[in-house]
Amino acid sequence: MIPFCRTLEEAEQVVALLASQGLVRGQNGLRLIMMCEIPSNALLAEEFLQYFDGFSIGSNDMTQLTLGIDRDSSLVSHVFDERNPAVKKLLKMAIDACHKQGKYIGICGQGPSDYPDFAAWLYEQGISSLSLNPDSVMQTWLDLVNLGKQ
Amino acid sequence: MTQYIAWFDQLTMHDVGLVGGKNASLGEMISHLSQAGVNVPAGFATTTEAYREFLVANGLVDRINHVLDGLDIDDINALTAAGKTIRGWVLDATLPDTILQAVSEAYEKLAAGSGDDAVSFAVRSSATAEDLADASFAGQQETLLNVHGLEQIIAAIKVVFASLYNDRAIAYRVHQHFPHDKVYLSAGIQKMVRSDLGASGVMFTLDTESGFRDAIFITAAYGLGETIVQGTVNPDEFYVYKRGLTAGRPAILSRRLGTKAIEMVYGDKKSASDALTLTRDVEAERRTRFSLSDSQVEALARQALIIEQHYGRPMDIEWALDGLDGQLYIVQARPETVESRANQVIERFKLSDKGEVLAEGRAIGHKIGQGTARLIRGIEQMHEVQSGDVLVTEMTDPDWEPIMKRASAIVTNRGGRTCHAAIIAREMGIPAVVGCGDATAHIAEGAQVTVSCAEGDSGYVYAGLLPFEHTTADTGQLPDLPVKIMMNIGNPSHAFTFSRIPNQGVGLARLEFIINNMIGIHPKALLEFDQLPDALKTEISSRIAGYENPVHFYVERLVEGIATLAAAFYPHPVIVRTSDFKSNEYANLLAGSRYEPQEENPMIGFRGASRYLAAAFRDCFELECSALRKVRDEMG
Repeated sequence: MIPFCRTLEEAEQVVALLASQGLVRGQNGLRLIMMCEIPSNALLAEEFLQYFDGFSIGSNDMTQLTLGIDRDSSLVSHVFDERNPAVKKLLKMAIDACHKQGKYIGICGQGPSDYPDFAAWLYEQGISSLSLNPDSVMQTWLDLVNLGKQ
Repeated sequence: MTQYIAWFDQLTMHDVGLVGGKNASLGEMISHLSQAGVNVPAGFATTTEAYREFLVANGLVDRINHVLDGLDIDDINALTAAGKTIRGWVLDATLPDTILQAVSEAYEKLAAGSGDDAVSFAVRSSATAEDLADASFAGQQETLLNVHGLEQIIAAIKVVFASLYNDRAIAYRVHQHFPHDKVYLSAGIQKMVRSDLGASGVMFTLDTESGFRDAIFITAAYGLGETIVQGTVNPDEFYVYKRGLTAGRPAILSRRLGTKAIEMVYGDKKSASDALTLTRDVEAERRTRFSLSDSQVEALARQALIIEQHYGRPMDIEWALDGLDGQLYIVQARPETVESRANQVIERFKLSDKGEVLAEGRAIGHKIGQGTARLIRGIEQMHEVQSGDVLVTEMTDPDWEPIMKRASAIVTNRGGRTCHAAIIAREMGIPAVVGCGDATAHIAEGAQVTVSCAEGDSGYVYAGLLPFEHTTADTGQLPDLPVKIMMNIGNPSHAFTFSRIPNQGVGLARLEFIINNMIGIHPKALLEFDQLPDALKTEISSRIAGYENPVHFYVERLVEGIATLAAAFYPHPVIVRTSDFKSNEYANLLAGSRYEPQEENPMIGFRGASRYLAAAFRDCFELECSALRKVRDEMG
C-alpha cells in the first residue's frame, strides 16, 4: 500500500518503480492499494484507480487537508472532526468510485475506532473493510451487530 | 529375572512405569522418530525396579516413610532437615551387586559403542510422576553433566535417586497429593552431546506468550543447556514459521540477539574433587554473533515439528548442538502445559498512565501487576515476601516456588523467556519481567512499583502504583458482519497476541513502526556506511550485531517484521504500507539528521510517493521493495 500519493503522475511513476523492483501488480497475487488521504485522491478517484486495486482511506490526513487544519495546533484542533460533511462527501466519492470499478475499499484511519457513529456511517455506505486498532475491535464489532438489528 | 536397566531404543511412551516420564519420552523418540530425522543421543536407563530394590536392600523404605509421615511442609526448617537426612541416607547407601553388574555391563557397551575413551555422559533423573500434563515444573529433579567412568556414573545415579527427596520435590508431592512412596525414580545415562563446545537451548512448538500455534519458538546460548533452563543467561531467540518449514521455504520469522554473557563448559578435572562443569564469561566477539546459523535454526525447528506431529500436541523440547560433530540433538521433550489450557476468553490489560521506567526486560505473560518491591537475595529471605509484593531478584530457583506464588509480579536481572522464572510465572499466571540486567540496582527495597507486560515483547517496571484497565471479552459470541473487520498493527511483537482477537486480516501494517522499533537507524546511513565518521560506524556496528552487513540488517529486519505479521494472520490478508515517515520523523532515527531536510511543514512535505520517487530517497525505498519481495516470493 502506497501512502500520500498526490498526483496521477506520481501514481503512474510509483507503480512503475515498484514494477522495476520486481513488485509487479497482478503478478504472484500482488495487489496494490493506495491510501486515499488527500482530497485530490477522492476528487480524481476513478483516475487514480487505473493504477491501483483499491483504496484504503486515511481519515486523519483527509480531514486535516480538507478542513485545512493542523491537528497539532491547539488553537484550531477543536474543529477537527472526521464526520464533517465535507470530509464525508469526499469519502463517499471515493467509496462510490471503488464500487463502480469493483475494487477494494477499506478504511485504516483512527476515525472509526474513535467514533462508533462514523463506523456505522461507513458501514452504511458499503465500505468493504474497517481496519481498527486492536483494542477497539470487540466493541466496534458488537456496536455494528446492534446497528444491524435496528 | 528382574530387569534393572533398559536401553532407550527399546523404550516407548508406555514405559513410564518402568523408567519414568523423561526416559520413556527419550525412548519414544529414539524408537519412533530416528527414521524421521529426530536425533537423540543413545543411552540406557535404570528401571524403577532397580530403585525399589536399592531402597529395600539398604533398609530405607520404612525409615524414609517414618520421617515423611510426620512432616509439616510449611515448617521450612523441619522440611530442610528431613530432606537433608533422607538424601544423606540415599547417598551413603550402596547399590546391590545385581544392579551394579547390570549397570556396569550396560555402561561398557555404551562406552564401547562410542569408540572414544574420553567419552562423557549425562545422568538425569526421570520420575514416574513428574511432568504430568498439568504441571510442567521446571527443574524438578537432578541432572549431572560430564560424568566419566563407571565409578562416577554409580555416584551420579545415587545423586539422582536422592533428588527425589529435594525439599521442593517433597513439598510439591504434598501440594499435589502424591503419596511419597508411590513415586519412583529412574536414572537415564546418555552420551553427552558436546554442547560445551557448541550451543544449546529450549524450544516450544508454539509461541509461549500468545499461544499462537503456527510458530516454533527457539532459545539458544553457548555451552551446556543448564544456563538457559536456570535462567543465568539472556539467550538468542528465534521464531520459525511452521508452514514455511513444511513448504521448504525460508521460515525464520524473527531473530533477537541475546547477551549470552556466560557459558557452562566442562571442568578441568585435574583432580577428583574438581567440579564436572564450570561457568565462564563468553568473549565479546562471540556474544555479538548469533549462537546458531539460520540453517541450524531451521534444522532444529524441523525436528521440533516432527516431534510435535508425533505426539499430537504442543511440546517443550531441550536441544543441544555438538561442537565436535556439528550435529543437532534432542535431549528432552515433554508436553507444553500452559498455553494448552488457554480458552476463548481474551483478557487485556492496558496501562492508563505511564511513569518513570526503573527497569526493562523480556515480558512474560500479558498482565500488569503492582505492589511493594521486595529485593530477595536468597531463600533465607523468603519470609519477607508478603502476598501481593513484587519479587525483585538476580534470578529465581526452583526452591523459591512458594514465594513466587505469593508475588503479584516477578522481576529478575537474568534469564530469557524459557528460564525457570519465566516458566513458573507463566504457569502461575503472574506477570514477570526477566533479564533486566540491573533491576536490583534500580528498584529500591520497599518501593511501590508497577510491572507491565502489556506492551508487547518488552516488559517494564515503573515507579509508583499506576492506574490500569483490565477487560475480558469472550470471543465465542461474535456474529458475522457484512463488512470485514481488520486491524491496524504497528509493532510485529504484538502480532501473535492480536491475531487471537477475532479479525479478517490486517488493513494497515505500518512499516514505520518496524523501522523505528526494530531498526532505529536511517536507511541512508546503512547504505552509505563506509562514508560515515568512525564514532557513528561504531555505534551502528554494535546495533547491527549478528547481521552480515548494514544493508542486510535493514532488509532482514523489515523481512522479519513483515513475515511475522503475515504468518500471524494467515490465511487472512495483510496490507503492508510502505514507509510513511515525515522528514522530522526520519530525522529522529540514528544519523537521520544528516540526510533529512528541515521542513516548515513536514505533514505536507517530503513524504509518501514523492519521497520514493526522489533521487535522494529512491535507493532507500528499493530496500523496502526487496524486503517485500523476499517475504512474498521466497517465504510465500
